[in-house]
Amino acid sequence: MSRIGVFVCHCGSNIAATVDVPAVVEAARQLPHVVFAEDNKYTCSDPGQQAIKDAIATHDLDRIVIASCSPRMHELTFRKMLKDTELNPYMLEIANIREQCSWVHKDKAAGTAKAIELLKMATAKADRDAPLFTTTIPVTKRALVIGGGIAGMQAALDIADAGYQVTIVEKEPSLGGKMVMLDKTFPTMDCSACICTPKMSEVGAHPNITVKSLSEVEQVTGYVGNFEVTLREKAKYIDYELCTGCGACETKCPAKVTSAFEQGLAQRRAVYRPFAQAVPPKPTIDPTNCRKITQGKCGLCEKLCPTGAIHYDDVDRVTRETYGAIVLAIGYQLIDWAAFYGEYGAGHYPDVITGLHFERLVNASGPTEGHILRPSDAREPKSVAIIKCVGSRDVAKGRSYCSRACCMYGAKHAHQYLDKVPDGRCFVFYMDVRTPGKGYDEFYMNTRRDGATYLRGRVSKIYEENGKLICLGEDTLLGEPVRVEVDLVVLETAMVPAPDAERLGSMLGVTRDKDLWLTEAHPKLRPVETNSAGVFLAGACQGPKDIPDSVAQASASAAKVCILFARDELESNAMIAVSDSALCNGCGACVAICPYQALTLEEVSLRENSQWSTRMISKVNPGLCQGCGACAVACRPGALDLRGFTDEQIVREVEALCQW
Amino acid sequence: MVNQIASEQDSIAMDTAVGETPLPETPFEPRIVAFACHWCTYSGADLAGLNRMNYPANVKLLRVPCSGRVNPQYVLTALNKGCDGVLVCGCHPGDCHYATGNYFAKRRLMAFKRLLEFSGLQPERFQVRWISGSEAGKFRDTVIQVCEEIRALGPLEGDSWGVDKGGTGDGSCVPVFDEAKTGTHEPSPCPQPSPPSPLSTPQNALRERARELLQSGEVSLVIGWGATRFENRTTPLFVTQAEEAEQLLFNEYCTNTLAKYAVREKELTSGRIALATRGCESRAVNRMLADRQLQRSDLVLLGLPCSGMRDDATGAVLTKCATCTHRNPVVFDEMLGEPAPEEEVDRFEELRGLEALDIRQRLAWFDAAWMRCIRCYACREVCPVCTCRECFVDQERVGWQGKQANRAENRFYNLTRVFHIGDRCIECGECERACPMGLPLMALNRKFVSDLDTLFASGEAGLSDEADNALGRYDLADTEEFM
Repeated sequence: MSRIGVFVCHCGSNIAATVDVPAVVEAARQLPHVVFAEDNKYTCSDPGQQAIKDAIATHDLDRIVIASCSPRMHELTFRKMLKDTELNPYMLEIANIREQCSWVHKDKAAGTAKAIELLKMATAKADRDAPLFTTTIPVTKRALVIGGGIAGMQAALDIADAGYQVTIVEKEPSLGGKMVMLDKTFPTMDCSACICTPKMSEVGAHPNITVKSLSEVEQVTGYVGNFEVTLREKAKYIDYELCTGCGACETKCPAKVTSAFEQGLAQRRAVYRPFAQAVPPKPTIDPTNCRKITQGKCGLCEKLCPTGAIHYDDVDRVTRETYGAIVLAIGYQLIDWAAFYGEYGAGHYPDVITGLHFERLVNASGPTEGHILRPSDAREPKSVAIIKCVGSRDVAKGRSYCSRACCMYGAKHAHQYLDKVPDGRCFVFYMDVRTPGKGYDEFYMNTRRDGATYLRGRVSKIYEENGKLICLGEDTLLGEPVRVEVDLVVLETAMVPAPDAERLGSMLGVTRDKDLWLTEAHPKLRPVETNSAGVFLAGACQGPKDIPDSVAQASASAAKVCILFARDELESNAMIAVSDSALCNGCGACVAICPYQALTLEEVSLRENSQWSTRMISKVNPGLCQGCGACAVACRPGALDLRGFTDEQIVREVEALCQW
Repeated sequence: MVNQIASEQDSIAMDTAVGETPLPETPFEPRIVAFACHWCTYSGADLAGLNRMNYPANVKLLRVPCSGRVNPQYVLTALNKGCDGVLVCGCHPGDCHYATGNYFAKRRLMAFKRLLEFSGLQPERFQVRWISGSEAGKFRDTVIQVCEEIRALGPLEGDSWGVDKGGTGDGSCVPVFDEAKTGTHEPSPCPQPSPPSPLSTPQNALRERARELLQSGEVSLVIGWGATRFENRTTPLFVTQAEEAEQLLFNEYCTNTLAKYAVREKELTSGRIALATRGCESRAVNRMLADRQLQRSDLVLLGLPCSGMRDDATGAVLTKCATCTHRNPVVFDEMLGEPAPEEEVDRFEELRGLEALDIRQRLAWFDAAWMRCIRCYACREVCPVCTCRECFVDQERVGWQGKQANRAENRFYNLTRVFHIGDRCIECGECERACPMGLPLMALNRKFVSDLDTLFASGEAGLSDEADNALGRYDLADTEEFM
């Protein structure tokens, strides 16, 4: 038999004005299991709290019900108060008779009647309250950053500078991501490599940062503070301990392959660094193209290597480490425009290129040494059309969103072209010009002053005629069809989620939005956290971003990681799901429902009906469970329940409302 | 429509009131419980208080962490215990504090709301709304609107859902429920004595393979059908000795769907089990594989073509067979006999007839059924997707199911059963066949199945062994019926 104490608050006149508090107290005394009831002027005040503590001791109460303001207001206050008593902090229910009663009902009789009914419900629930306990989880103060682009590097540097160990996992042979491919950055036109490569070197040299290039996250288990991560570091065929990065191996390699870094505009060797300033500053062998590895013949690089660092029999290394927090900085990719835009030639015209191609063409260290030359005939184009929103803001192509950065880099490309080809003509096709950023609109206006012709409207068709590309479209400001003949077309294509987003998102329990970007925990107030505690987002993996925004978000996620690491232990949620092994039939319906991957099926041996049996049952991970209760509804066998909001408590509340 | 139902309701209330008790002096005040998500609606209601908005005192909020915590059984419990209406409120889709809870809630509650309306509950009595923490005005307006609607409907007597106490409705609502039609499809001449059965070849093959499998030790048990002392009536047969394989039968009276026996026998048998597998058994096996109650390696599936089974007394084709869409197994290890021709059937024909009825007629129709239910739980025992270790009706700690044999408790059992199995139902019709009282159980199952298919394109269950049941997943593009 429980011994319930009821405390009804006047809240000055906030409650007492429209609820007859003495009548509520009197009604409370008649309720089952209630052994004590009294009213207080202000229950949350120190004297009010002291009165509750005294009553608990005097009347040997084992649970209390407070009829007062919303539990959203003072539930934590009263739980904290109970920590000073013999009662478990969860032996508490609150009847909300202020926000949801006295403040909204002017009629005192109706208000009093409702207050009594709310009190009945709370008392019935309290009768089935059970002591709940939190557990503490130790925090491993080491962070994993997935992705070595500008966002990942910035997050890693900030966390490392705060004194914590960081591992960066990068799937490419070098850090740098998309930023290091760019020529100049808007609106200041400083050289991208000049600001990105020092960051790369800083990361590479930082004593607290371990860089794992050509590596992937294979599996993640565990929870905040204790993620067990399996990393696969692909074979590089070069021992980085011995390699000095002299580059001798790269000079004679006979196998030549199209360079992905140069967007297919140049070739690289099978033993290669993707670009000169790569970090780690050491080459790797591409096993699909190396003649020694594929055919067993050659071995030139091994002969040339002065330190004997080359090992053709190298294998992938799989390691397993514990991390306390994970930052996802996996960036974006550009939309495969050719698959969507048959009207632009679907990739068959060599002189229809993307913005990233253009970056390499205009880059002094690129394949043309900074001369803008058409891919088809290596001639300088005398006219260029730049088409924005290719794939963005086009529901017909499946993407309704704005890619945010294209207006600015479209303007940048126009500016760069007119700078290098002063007698050239440049047409920019646009839907809107969006330039919200420091110095952005000024940059765009300058580009127009440079002589770029902005035409408002989409291009409906591109075709080739006499070595020229014809763009057909409409100038919607004049309401006239437009036909432009150009030598080169640059498509400013949409950003879309990175190919790994789906795999990593589901592995880490991070949901994805309608466009499949990784989603933050709250679009406004928790923009870098995710629904998985201890997993944070940085950069364009959360949605299209430019460099300043990516860097800002990276630093924000680093701060969140440092906040987590500032504590030695985390307290787990007490109100979590609990699984009854006797009822669980191992169907696994809960596993698919849980957004936190807190539920797993595990094989257990149980003694049931006087005999041992081995079967699968669901288990709740208390570090991961956030207490939503969706699994308990999905569990038809009734094995899962939610502590603090059990089926029994809710049914008793309904009964109390209807039948007491 | 709302007014029409309300006025009909009023007239019934008047009829009974005049005859029995004087009109109550105080006007009817509905009792409404609102399950409210802590993060959005509950804080929206707090904001309404902070802004000193006024709304009727009839609605009491019951705080839950998430609308995904709201078990549709709570709704039925509240209606049975004495609430006149139920409101469920949560965050707007996309705003869930727990990322996905309200998407699951939406699917569950949408399907369950349709089921309740199908069985006769006025739609106003169970409503669902998304109300954010900032939408105090929407909260107030919702409470006012729901209150007015339910006040207009009058009290929902927990026992009779507002029709009356004890009867089956007024004279105009004569149940269309026909016992003779539930067990079998079209009565046809009883083929007695059996002509040489076209199924005899598969029967011989079944016996032959059973003997071989037992002899070689590949399986330790064969589950099939055997004779009884009644003519034409068969019973499940469990063969463990090769020489007993001759006792296996396969004719047009093999009415039992055998798959569920494999689960029970698996616990008692060490070796593999060979199962005579028609379309219905194969879909049941797939579903049990998806629910992890069996492993494919435990089974040898001996595929059998089926042309529909007959009632042993009347000779009529069983209803469950007349609406069968898969006469041949969808999964098997070997096929014994030529596949039977599949027939185009309209499995939702009976359902559409019921859906076309007036809501009060349906209420009367189902009420008549609830009155007949003896809660023997035969429907549960034969159902291949009922695989709980302890049924909710026996979980006394929560007290879902009362022990009384009245209409409210029977309704609670039957509707909860549909919610528990409906998104995995393979439509084998065993529940309805096993029911000794001839309850229209497949009409309820098919309602759920058909709604899930309409709303979420769930298709037919048991065609593969993937656990893709409609209430176990969601789609961001899911439609929404209750805003």
